[in-house]
Amino acid sequence: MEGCEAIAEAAVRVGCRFFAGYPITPQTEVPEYMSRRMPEVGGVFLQGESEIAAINMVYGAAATGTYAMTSSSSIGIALKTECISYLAAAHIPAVILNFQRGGPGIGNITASQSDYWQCVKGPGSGGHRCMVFSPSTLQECVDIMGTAFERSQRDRNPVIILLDGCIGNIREAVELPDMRPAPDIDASDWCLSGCEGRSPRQLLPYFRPDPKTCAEQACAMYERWQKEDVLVFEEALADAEVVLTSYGTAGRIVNSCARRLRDTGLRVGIIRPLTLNPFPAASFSGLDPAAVKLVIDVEMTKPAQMAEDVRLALNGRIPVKSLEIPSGVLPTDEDIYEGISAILQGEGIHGI
Amino acid sequence: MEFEYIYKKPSALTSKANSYCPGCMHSTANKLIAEVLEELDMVGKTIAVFPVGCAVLSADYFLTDMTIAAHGRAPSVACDIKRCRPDKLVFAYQGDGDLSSIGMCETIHTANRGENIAVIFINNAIFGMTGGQMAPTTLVGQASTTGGKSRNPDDVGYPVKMCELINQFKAPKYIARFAMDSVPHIRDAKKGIRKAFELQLNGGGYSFVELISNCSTNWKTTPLQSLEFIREKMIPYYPLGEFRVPEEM
Amino acid sequence: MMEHKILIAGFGGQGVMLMGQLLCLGAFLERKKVLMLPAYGGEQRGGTSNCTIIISDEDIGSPSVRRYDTIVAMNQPSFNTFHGFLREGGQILTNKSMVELPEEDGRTTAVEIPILETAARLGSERAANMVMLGALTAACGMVGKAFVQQAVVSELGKKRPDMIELNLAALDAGYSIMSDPCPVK
Repeated sequence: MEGCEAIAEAAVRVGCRFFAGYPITPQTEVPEYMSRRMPEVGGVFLQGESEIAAINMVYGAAATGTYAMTSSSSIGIALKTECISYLAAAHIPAVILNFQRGGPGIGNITASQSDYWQCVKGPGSGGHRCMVFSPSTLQECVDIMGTAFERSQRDRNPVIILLDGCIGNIREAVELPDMRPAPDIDASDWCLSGCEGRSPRQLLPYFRPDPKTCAEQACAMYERWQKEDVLVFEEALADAEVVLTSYGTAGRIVNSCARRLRDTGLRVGIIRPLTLNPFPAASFSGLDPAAVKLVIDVEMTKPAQMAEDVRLALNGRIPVKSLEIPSGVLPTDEDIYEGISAILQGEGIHGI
Repeated sequence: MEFEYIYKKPSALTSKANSYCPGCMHSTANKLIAEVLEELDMVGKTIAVFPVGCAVLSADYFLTDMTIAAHGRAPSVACDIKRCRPDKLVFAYQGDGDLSSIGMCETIHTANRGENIAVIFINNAIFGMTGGQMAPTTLVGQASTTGGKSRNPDDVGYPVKMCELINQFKAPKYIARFAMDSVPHIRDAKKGIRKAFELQLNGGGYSFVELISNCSTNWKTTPLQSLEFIREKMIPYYPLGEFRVPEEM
Repeated sequence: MMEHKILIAGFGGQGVMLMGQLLCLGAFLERKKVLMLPAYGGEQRGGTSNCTIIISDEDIGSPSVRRYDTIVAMNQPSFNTFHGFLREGGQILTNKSMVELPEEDGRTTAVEIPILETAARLGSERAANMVMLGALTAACGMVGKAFVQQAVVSELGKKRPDMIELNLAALDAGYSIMSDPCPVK
C-alpha cells in the first residue's frame, strides 16, 4: 500500500472516526483517503478551510470522545500549534501526523527531519509537551497507530507522529491491524455529551483547579512517560565500539549501512528512538565509555537537532558527532555510508 | 402563607454573581439563552462553546457541558462537536473581536457550509476584555485605544456588517439582528434565539443571531448612556431585523 | 545479501506504475522485502512517470538510489534522462520501437526489447507492457516468473478476464526474449 493510505487505514482500524485536514504536499493523500473511508465506517471527514480550522475541528470532535486525527506538513503544523496547546490545556486527546518538509519557510517537499525541535521541544505555547513517535518503516507507522491513540486517550493529551514525504509516498508490504470497533463515546467519563443526569462537564483550556496543581500533574505525566513509555530499537550494543543513532527515514538507511559497516569488521551498535518524547535517554546513559568510542548521530537536517538530546543523555561521557544531511536531498545508502566512513576516519577509528 | 414563583433564575445558570462590568448586557444575553434552553427542555442535552474575550466569562455561569475554543475558532470547534454528537444542541457564543476579526475565516466558512449549529454574536463594536481597542465593527467616528478619537474609514475602512455578509451565502437558514437596548428589543432577541435553537433541533441548519450590545466601560459612558448609544448610533448603522427566515417559521 | 534496484521510466499510459506494482507483488508473494517509490513532486513533469523498486533479502534502507542495477526505458526521454544512473555492469531494457540507442558509449549494456511487435503478434499492442514486465523479471533475477504470473492473474484477472490469456502469453514472451537475448551496443 502507499504510505499515506496505509497510515490512514491503520488509524481507521484502531478506531479513528473523525478526520479533518487541509491539502498540503506531501500528505494530501491522507485527507483524500479519509474522505472516501470515513463515510464507510460511519465516521466524519471534513476538509477545513485552513490548517487552523482543521485542528480546531479535531478539538471539537475529540471533545465528544470520538477518536480524532489530523495531518499536515511542517508549516501547517506551525499553524496548528495554537490549538495543540489548547488541546493539552483542556486535556483533550488527538493524534497529529507531521509529514515533515525541509527547511524554514515554505521549505521543500523532499523528505526531511527539520521539525524535531518544533514537535519535541515546543509543539505549542505555554511549555507543554506532546508524546512524539518516530517510526522508520511503513510497518512501524501502522503498528504504532494503535499505541498513539491509546496513549493519547489515556493521558488526554495530544500525540504527534513525526513522518516525512518519503514514508508517505513509498509502497511497502504492510500487515494492517485488525478492525476494532469504534470506542463507545457514551461510556466515556470525561467527554462532552450533555449533562442530563449528571453534573456538567467543562473542558477548559486554562489552569483548573490552579496553576501549581496543573503544572505538577503535567510534570508527573511527563515523568511517567519517561519511566514507562519509551520505545526504542536497540541492536548489538553489548560489544559496540561505535553506536549509530537516528530516527524515521534516516533510521532505516542507517540500519542498512550498519550491516555494511559490520562487514568491514567494525562493531556497530544502533540506538533508534521510536519515541522522541519520551526520549530513550537511558539507552545512551547505559553505554560504557570504556567500550564505545563514538556515537554518530545521523539526521536529515542541518544543523542536527536530536543531537542535543543525545549529548544531554550522554552528559559528556562519550563523544558525539553528527552526520547532517541538509534538507533537499533524500540520501542514498551510499551517501550515509560514505558520510559515516568519513567521520570514522576523521576520528581515527577503524580504517575503512 | 403560600408563595408562588413569578420569576426565578433559569436552571441552566449557576448561582454565581456574574462578574461582567455593571450594566453589561452580556448577563442578559446569557440569561436569554438559559431561559430558552430551559423552555425547550434542552439544558441537559446542550454543549456550549465559548470564545476568548469578555464572552468567555459565560463559562462560569452556564450549567451545561461546555468547552472554550481558541480565539476566533469557536465555530470550527462547535461544528464538529455537532457532527460527532448530532443529537445535542450546540451553540457558539462569541464577541465581535473573536468572531469578526481573528475568527472571520472560521465564521465565514462555517456559515458557508451551513453547519447545523447556532452562532450567537455579541456585537458591542469594541474589544472589551483587552480594554477598548478598535474592532472591525467599531463605528466610524467612534473612539478606541488603537483607532484614536475617531475611527477613520480612509485609513481602516468601514465597520463590518456580519449579518449582511453572511446573508450572501446560500446555506445559512436563519440570520437575524437584535438589540439589547430595551425591553421590547430584548424580548425579540429571545424569540430569535429560540428560533435558532428550534431550527437546529429540527435538523434545519446554520443560524446566526447578532445581538447589538454595549460596553459602557470602554465606551466611557454610563450604562444608561450606553443603551442610548445603541439606539442612536449602532442601530442606524446595524439595522435590526430578520434577514433570512426558513419558510416553515 | 541479494538486493536489486530497478527504475522503470516512461510516459503516462505506458503502464509504468502497473509494471512496478506487479513486480512488487510478485516479489512480495515470494516473501522478498520490497519497496516501491513512485516519482513525485517537481522532479518529473510533462507526462513522464517513473518508479524505483528495490527487492531485497533483507530490510531495505533508503528508497533513494544512486546507481540502478536495471533500468527500463519505455521512451526516448526516459533513456536520455536516466541511462547515466545505471551501475557499471547494470542493464538497460529499452522499448525498441521508441528508443534509439546512441552510438557506442562503451558503458551501457542496452537490450532492445521489441515489445510492441511482440504484443501485436500475440494479439494486441496493449499487452506491450506485459512483454516488458516479462523481460524485466528475467533481467532482475530476484523474482520467479511463477510469482509474477500469479501477481498478473490476481491483479488483472478480475478487471479484464478476457485479456488474461494474452497478458500471460506476453509476459512469457518477454521472459523468453531475455533468456535468449541479443544485446546490442
